[in-house]
Amino acid sequence: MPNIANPTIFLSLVRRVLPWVTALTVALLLVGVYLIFFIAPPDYQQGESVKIMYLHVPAAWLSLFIYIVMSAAALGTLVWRHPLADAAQKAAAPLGAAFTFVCLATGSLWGKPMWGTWWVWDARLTSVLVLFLIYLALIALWEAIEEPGRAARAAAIMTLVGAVNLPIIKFSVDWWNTLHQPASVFRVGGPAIAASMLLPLLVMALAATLLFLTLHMMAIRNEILRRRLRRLTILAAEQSDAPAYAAAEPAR
Amino acid sequence: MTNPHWGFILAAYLVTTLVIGGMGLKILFDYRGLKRELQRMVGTSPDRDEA
Repeated sequence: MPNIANPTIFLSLVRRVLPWVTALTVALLLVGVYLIFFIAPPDYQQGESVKIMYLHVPAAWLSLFIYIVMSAAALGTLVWRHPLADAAQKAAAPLGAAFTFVCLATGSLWGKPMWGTWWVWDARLTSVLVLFLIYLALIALWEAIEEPGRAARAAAIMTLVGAVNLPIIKFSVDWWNTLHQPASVFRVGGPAIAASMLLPLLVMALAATLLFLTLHMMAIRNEILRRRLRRLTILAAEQSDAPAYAAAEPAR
Repeated sequence: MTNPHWGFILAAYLVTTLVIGGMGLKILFDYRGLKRELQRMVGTSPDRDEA
């Protein structure tokens, strides 16, 4: 099996795999949208507003999943100091922020007609907002430190510290009395959703996960190329400075 | 489209499309820019070279 942690092999793998994953993602998204708008029935309480859930739930799932991916990459950075783990961490943070923002925005757009309010300082909503702020802080940290290795180690430590928020988000609806509903898909006793609604939800969750994988692969490829460009720029600068140093040598 | 909540539903789909689509486009434009810069520096396709 080829060592896909090698950046060159990873780039070649991305070149071969990306068109297929992209095509599968687009196909699944189209199937999902068709199921949502033409097959799935309105909810007996929420009516058509349930259609927002087909975006909100996959975005919520991804906001946590992306953080788990980032935490695994952070371990790769701290334990093995692997450049691909650094790139995976850096590439995932903006995607995590985007999906968490979608989760918060769609939740708010569902909350107004259903709860009568855009926002409440409920444990689930607040802990997801904290997750969004952690993503933003990680993006800022990556931008603040110029040397990629140092930035990766600092971001890895912050990512692992921030991981304490994940169980708080997951169990917030059980630990506190919240307005947000408890888990209805991943729960003891099986999903509490009718099959006609569960199918489009699962299709959209799978499509969103594949969409993340597609974007993540593309973003990791960018980070590898950015590091390459940085290295070449430094080499070019050193070479252009070399004659000046050589000329200055006898005078020292 | 008589449901009073369609505005919220459309807004949710619009926000999602704009945010995720915008992110995808940003990554794509970033890739093209990096590729152009690297091609200018090394004269070959950058993702086929040695790391």
